[in-house]
Amino acid sequence: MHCKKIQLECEDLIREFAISDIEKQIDPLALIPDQIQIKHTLPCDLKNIINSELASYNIPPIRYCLSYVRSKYSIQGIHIDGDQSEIIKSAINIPLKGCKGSYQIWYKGDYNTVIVRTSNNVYHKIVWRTPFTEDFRLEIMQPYLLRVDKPHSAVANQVEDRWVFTMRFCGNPDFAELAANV
Amino acid sequence: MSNLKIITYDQLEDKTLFFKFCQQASEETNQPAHKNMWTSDWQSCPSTLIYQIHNRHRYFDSDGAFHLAVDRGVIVACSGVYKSLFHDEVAIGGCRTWISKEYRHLGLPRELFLPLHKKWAIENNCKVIAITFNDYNKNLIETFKRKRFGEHRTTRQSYHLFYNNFNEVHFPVTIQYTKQWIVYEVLDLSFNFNWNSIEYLD
Repeated sequence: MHCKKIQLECEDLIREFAISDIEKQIDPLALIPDQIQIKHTLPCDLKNIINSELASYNIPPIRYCLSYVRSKYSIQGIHIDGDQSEIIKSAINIPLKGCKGSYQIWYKGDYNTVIVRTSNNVYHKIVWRTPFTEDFRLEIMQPYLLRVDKPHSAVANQVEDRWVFTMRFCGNPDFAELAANV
Repeated sequence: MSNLKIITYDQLEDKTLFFKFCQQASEETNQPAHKNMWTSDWQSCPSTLIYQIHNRHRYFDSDGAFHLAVDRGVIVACSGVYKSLFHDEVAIGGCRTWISKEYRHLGLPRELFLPLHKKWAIENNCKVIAITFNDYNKNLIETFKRKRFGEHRTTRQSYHLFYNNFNEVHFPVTIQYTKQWIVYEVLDLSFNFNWNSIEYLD
């Protein structure tokens, strides 16, 4: 399993905060490169609301949260999520804009990973040892718990930029462990 | 009413018709809900209906349905139903209902939308269908209680909402972090939802 729907009552609160925060951080008139990563600092009250709802699913508190703005027509390189120290195993993604007709796609095949550090991002690039094939694709139109420790990429639609909010959790729990309670 | 055709949002071929409908509704500024229909920066306003429809999935597939009343090619009313987030066997109907001014005397919620929402709730295995009100329109709850003089119950047909039973929660509840008032029909009498679990606390 790659993903599981999760119902979050705080979804609209997150959206309002994330959209407003993204708009503060990017120039709306500037041409969006393929992808911009936006780091969010959640207000304490919102963080408490989210953590309390996560706890109702036995999901640990938020470790950090981000949004990704991906320009229309663009395709993300295949990767595994990670930071300086480790591979990230699970996330909850919430669609903000432009997600109709855009996809998160998982791939299968044998591979090694190479850590890549850019000016504002760290991820694990996939070096395929065998030809890869598409395994599963998901149009994210509502909050989903996702497995992000398998090779995946995002594809924007051809109409508008794709805005997605993502949060990761303290203790870096396994997707399967979380999915069992959702 | 005979000219009205009911379709779901999925069935609407020209989506710009819905944009126009929401935009026109937003211009009726004496209605408290007008600001939740459309704004020029609706892409940044998750509270607007146009954002909810365009960027969310609440009213589609087995999660819900969004109905439009169309009169000779023009959308004149809308209303949605969805499975609540607090219990997937509790449906919430009559959501985001907006009726164009010229059609408000026709009783569209009672005669068209709420029966469709009840039908959807039954077909999607919900045990309860509720409708919610804010403080500003809580007085509408009284309209569901009205009886004709000399009759001991309201005149309803089996397809009407509240035909089998009418129940009111006498305290406000919290739905998506908003204070709401609830009335509901139980569709499966063996089911009992504890409304105290979502009671609104100041």
